[in-house]
Amino acid sequence: MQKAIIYDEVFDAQLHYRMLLDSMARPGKINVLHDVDVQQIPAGINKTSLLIALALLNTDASFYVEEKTDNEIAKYIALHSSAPMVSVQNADFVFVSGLQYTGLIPSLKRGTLSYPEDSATIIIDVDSISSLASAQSLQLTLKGPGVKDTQTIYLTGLNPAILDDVKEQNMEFPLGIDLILTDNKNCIVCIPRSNEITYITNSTTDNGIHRS
Amino acid sequence: MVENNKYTNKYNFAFIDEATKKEIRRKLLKAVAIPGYQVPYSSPEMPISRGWGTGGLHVTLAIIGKDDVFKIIDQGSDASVNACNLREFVHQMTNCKTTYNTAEATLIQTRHRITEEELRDDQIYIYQVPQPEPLRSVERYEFKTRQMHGEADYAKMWVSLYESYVRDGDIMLGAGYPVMVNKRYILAPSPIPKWDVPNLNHSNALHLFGAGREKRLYAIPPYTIVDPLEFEDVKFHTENFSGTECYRTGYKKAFMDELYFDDGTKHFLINDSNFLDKLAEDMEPKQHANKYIDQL
Amino acid sequence: MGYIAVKGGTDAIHNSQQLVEFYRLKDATTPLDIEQIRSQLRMAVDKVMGEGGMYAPEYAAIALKQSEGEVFEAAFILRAFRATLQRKYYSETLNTREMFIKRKISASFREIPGGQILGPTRDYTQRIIDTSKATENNEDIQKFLTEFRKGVDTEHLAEITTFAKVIDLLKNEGLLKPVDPNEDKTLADITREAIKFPAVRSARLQMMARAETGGLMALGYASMRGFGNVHPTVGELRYGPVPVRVKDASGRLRYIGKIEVTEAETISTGRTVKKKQPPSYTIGYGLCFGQNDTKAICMGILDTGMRSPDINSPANDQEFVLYHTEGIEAMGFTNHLKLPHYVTFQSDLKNLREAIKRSGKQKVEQPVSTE
Repeated sequence: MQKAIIYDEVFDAQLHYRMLLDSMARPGKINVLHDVDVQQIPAGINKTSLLIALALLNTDASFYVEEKTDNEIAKYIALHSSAPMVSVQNADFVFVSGLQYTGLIPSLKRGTLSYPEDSATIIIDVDSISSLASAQSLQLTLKGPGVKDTQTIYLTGLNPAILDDVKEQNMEFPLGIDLILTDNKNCIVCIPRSNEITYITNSTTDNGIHRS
Repeated sequence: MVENNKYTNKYNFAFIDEATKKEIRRKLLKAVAIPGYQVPYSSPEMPISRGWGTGGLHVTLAIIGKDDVFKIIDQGSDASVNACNLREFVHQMTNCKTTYNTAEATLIQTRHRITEEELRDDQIYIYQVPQPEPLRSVERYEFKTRQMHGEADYAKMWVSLYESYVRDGDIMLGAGYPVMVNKRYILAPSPIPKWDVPNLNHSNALHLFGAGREKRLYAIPPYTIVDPLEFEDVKFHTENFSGTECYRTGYKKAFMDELYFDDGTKHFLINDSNFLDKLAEDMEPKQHANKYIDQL
Repeated sequence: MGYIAVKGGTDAIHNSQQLVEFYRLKDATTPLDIEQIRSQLRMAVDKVMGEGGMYAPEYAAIALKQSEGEVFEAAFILRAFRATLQRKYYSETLNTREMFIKRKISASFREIPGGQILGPTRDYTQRIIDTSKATENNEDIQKFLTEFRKGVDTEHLAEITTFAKVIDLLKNEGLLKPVDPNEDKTLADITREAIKFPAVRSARLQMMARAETGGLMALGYASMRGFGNVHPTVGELRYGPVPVRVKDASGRLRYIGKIEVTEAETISTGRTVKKKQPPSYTIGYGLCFGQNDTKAICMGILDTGMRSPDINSPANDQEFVLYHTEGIEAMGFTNHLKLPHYVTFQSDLKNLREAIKRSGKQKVEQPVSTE
């Protein structure tokens, strides 16, 4: 059943996009999307990721969702954005769960030297994004355009294999893929291909000292 | 506007339809992720002539929101005729507040200048670009310049700079002096004068470039290394205004307009109209700092 | 004090807008009716629709009126308006074999299926200025229409329908170059994404369909004069309405109306690429809105030219042809030179003065006029 969602495709989309643009321009900066009362969202995906889908997708941008059964998420995105679902190799936007990673990143398009923008953007659901370390959090440090010196953030709910695969895919700049991470509190953080990624798992075991 | 029922026509907020806005928005994210790379985009016609700022308008209108404060300058001036026309169009289509005050603006659209006043990290700077391809002077074909960028094969460009030096004793490039972004892509900085080029390096603000007629978007994120092209022994330098000062304020460290009065005498005046106004009113606008200004 | 760096810009442009409107209306003559423009300035309307990239005769007429008859400006207004409209459907491929023929000629054969149909054309008129047009009135028009209708053989009206094409004859005889299986047949949409080079043929033809007639003509002409290598025979030129259909949401074809188009198929001797391959003909294709023979034929010439790229021949060079026949962009950019450029000029001035200083000479010697 189609149910109208309370989402202003002009003004909500614009405000969410500005947050995204700021995050992409300032890798590692945590931005918070203003909340929108979206009803009946499918299980298995952060609402924030769906808001990004609504802000960016339409008939001209394809997507792929990795999900276990019955394509509820894909149906939702297709219904509300009119974007076509395509195979993982051809998708412009790919929605991935940070924990249930199945190794699809090497299959994504990375662009060509003449047209490096013909590449995928992945939206990854994690549990939390924070500027402070917590138990079991992964410490991620970024360096590159948009970052003053270095920028460090702490994530939970992210399989480090994702970062390893992204680093591998982004070795030959300008070819590569760009990342948008979301958590369940409307936080987003971006990692464009231009940035160097280093990470430490279980950062709090490091004498419990918080780094920032 | 035609108010006849048969022809009534309503425009979307910010004029551009939402599908095209999304396309421009997606392309801008790519432009930011690949600093200095020119992303092709659909560049729909605007009710403004091609070559008169359509690319800058596409960027502005695709990102602007109700609460933005918009400033637009042409040749450094808020009052230049084309800036006035575009300001009015943006205002009519968005009802956004507009301003001359650089510090108050959240979005600043420009043709040919960066403001003298330092930009902040909550400001986005948008350039109208006539010719986005820095290699066009050495290679006329688009498919070849794309390959050259793809392979970072910039030999032709370096040769042309060297030849210019041999011929005239200096690199004879003026406004639009080519820069290397993030040690990877050569980029055409709209054409801003050499005076402004150092202010692209490690800027606090995000810089977005729109070339409407040529259908290209590109970006320099904040805190990005931007180096003007130069040789070990032939260095880049900014326009030399030594020995001149603004006839109204006596200020020396700014890009100057050269004016001829009716009696034939020549005078200099600060080009950036808002910066000039602030100095004239004894305010102290914070100017960009860079090693070239510091040497003066 | 000659220089005014104050906020006069807005007032200046408002006054200028008022003045241009005044010039349009100052003699207080009878307002031009849109229907009159549409009906009596048919060729101008067709050109504006073609270059504007939008089939809307009424809007083209309004744009012509608004721009005081400046066709470039009118096409630009129409295109800018078009850009605000949502694209809801893509039409199915037009089938010009279904065209209700108003004009159909072939230069390559004396007789073609259905015969040569000259239709409305000024080709064989003497271009003598007709001063009676100066005093033409409604009575004259009615008289002409009555006379004209008397001459129409209403009994045989139904016989004229649709006809097979000349190229079908050549194809059946095996004279046409087979379609290159490697040619990229992707359907681009140049209004939704920037053209990429090398461009696929669909993108090239779309660009030309919206290109400026004069620009296409200059290059098509150049090609025939030797700055290119295409001097074709017009296989067929036809003009008339063609039905347009779209698929609705359920996938059913729906007829949505007719548009008038001019279509040209030009024949050239194809280059033999492989040895031992017999020679063959290649077809250049042109299609544009309304009646515009020149544009359709020149499209055909340039289509053929661009299919055998040669950077020494401007008319065979796709980047050269497509970028520079785009009238609206060319007009905008050439006119942007009127904008103030004193910042960039100042930067150049600094360079030049310093270079002169370095060269040790004071000034470049100015030639002295002898007059």
